[in-house]
Amino acid sequence: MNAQEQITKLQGLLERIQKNAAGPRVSAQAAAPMKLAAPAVSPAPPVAPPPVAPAPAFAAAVSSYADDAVDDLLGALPEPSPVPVDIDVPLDSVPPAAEIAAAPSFAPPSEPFALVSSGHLDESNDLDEVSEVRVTTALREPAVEVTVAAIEAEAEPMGTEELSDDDLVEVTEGTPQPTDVDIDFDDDEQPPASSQRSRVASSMDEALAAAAEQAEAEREVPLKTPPPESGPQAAPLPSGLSAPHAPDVDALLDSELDIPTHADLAAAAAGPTAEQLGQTIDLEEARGPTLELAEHRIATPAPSAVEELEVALPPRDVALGYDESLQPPPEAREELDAHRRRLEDDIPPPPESLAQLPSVQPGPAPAIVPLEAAATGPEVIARPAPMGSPESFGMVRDAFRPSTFVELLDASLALDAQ
Amino acid sequence: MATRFNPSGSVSFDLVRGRVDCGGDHVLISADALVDLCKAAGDEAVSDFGRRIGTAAGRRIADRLGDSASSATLEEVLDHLGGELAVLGLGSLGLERWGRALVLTVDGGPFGQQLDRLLASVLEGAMQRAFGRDCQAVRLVRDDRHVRFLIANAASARKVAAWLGSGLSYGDALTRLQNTAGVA
Repeated sequence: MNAQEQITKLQGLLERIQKNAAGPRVSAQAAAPMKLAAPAVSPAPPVAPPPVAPAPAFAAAVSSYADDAVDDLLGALPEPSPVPVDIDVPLDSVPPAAEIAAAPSFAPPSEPFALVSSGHLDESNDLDEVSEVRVTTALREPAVEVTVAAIEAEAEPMGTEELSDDDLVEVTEGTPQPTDVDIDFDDDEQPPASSQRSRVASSMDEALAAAAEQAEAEREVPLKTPPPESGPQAAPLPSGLSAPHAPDVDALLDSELDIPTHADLAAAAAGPTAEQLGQTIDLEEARGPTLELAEHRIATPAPSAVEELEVALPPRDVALGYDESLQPPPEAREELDAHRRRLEDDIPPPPESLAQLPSVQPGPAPAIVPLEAAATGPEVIARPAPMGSPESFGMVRDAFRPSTFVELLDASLALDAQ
Repeated sequence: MATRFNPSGSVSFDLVRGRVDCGGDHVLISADALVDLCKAAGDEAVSDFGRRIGTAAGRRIADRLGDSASSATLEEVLDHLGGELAVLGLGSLGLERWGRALVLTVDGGPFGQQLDRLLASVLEGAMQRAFGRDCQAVRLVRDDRHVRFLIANAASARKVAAWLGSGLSYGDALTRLQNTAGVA
């Protein structure tokens, strides 16, 4: 920055100062009681004043410093205007001086407000936060006095950050004005390389190409395997495979169909042609001894020697009969006797099967087997016959007719079974 | 002529004193408890117990009949003896004459098929006390509710019991008893 630019900047700054001085401002006289009252409203003990205690000294220093510096630097000014003292005091939180005087014992519930100048603010944070848009307010100015040294001190770092004067916006205290934000809309905002914003196609061809690319991208099957609980999903298409292309009907119609004729069929039946077979290579015959498969021989068992296990047959006379002296087993004796009786009495045997009714049995009807002889079947128990015979009791009743109970009792007791 | 059995006043309940009077002090006990007691006591004790009950009943019969007890008809004796057994709760008494044999029946006894020995003893005691005859009651047959007793002397009772034990029906036993007695 050369001297001319500094002069120009100082002149502009001076004009702003003069303009701001003409407007209503918080004077040093009005701020003085507030500064003096600050310890009174502070709940902190008097022995330990709050950090804002140096504020009056700061204000006084600012006042004297402003008077000297401006007059020295801008001595050509016809009417030195009082240098405004910019104090960063939130107006909405500071009660008027009259209220403070009337209620000296009022203690705010919160921490005492700090009369902090803008110099206490960290400018580096503001500079770091703003990259393209520079916002500068008067409230955050470290000092309200305007000096060349101060301007240069501020101008140097501004030059290093390549900020222009348009980026600087001053907001005077007491006249809260909307913050001027300089935004350069002329510059074409170029999205970063990593941006995924869709770009507007410049032409129709570019738009069509982008749409085709997007369609291809949408057809890409994600490699992620869907979770099993996600329900049925369409099976992903295998990559690299595509649906068969539709046949070119026009090409097929234009070309001539090659219909095989009888000659072609005969040639095909004769065998492949030399062109079809290609180059034929004759293999050499195998060298070495000739091997022949031996005939499989079935092992036949050797005829075994004749063993002497033969039993001599009984004589002819014994084979057709049995010894008369043989006795049947004891368990078969009864059955044998019954058989002999049936033969003698010519009694047909009982039916062998109970499943077939006797009426359909061949031969004569079987004899009825008495209950006593039946081995199976229910045992019929006859009801016991009533006592005696009626004749006997009738005869007794006729002979004995007791008239009294004692007579009957004596007769009953007289019954002697002996 | 004997009077009919009149159960009026046969049993009196003195609820103030808590006593039951039935020709003497009585107690009302359950039949099941009595069955259990008689099973535990044995046959001889049960017979003595029943005889005492029958003797009391026979005494009351004799008191009612008085001198006419010996001339009382079958119906009159059945009325009074049956009335006494009914008051005691031992069932309904019946009477059968099988030739010369006297058969007493008890229907609906409280003991079921058990304690027939007790019923027989009650009948024996009543006969002995009311009519002055020593007899024995032999159980001829019984079903669920009905039981028959033959009133006989001791010898005939043992013989009939033996016949019944051998499988002879009670009818045949009575017939045989009549025939043997006739032959004798």
